[in-house]
Amino acid sequence: MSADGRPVFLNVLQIRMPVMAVLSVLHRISGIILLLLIPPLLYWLQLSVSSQVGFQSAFNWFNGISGQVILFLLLWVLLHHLFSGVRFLLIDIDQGVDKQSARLSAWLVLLLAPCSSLLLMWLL
Amino acid sequence: MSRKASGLKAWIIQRITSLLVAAGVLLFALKLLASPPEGVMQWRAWLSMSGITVLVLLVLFALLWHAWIGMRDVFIDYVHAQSWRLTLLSLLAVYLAACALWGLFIMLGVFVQG
Repeated sequence: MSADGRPVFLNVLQIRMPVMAVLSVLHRISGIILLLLIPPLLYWLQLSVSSQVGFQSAFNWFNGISGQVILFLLLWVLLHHLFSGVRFLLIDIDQGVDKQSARLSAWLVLLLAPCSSLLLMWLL
Repeated sequence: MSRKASGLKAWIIQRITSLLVAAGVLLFALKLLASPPEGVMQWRAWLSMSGITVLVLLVLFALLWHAWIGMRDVFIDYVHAQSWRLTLLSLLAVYLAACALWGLFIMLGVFVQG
């Protein structure tokens, strides 16, 4: 109960969230993850310019199965945040605001991110 | 801009920095796909081109500013005790400032030495 007696229900695990809501939460979570990845990114850059050994080490960082899995996850987080961000920018200029379009674009982003990650990994 | 419009200012900067970072990510991906560096000398040569050095730093600073605004929103939404919020925001500021300086020195080293 809130202070004035009105009922309060904030159990996020029980509230049914439409796909746009899930996307919004993931946008926030992916942002926080990316924030924590900035120092490793800078470390990678520093390693890549330090020497030929460092360069090779940096560009071989993601070799091997576990390296590839980690790279996939990193790309997924980045692309998810980027694509859902673009979706928000489009909504800012009134593109895809109605419920149907919003649901469609939400699903599109949700699926496009991991697919693009796989594509990028294959290309690289 | 009046004090009452500070939310609008943050909103606009968030959009602008997001576009800069998106452009940076795109550039980096295109570079790796179209002409990946074959060794550290090539890599440093590309990074030390003045346009590229400026671009990398610009994208980095845009990223850090974007992260500040985003994370500040998260703290405002979930951290209600002012003492905690102030502490977390201060730590975030130091974290981002350190990243900015670190990035600056990495790029300065590359730019000066080539």
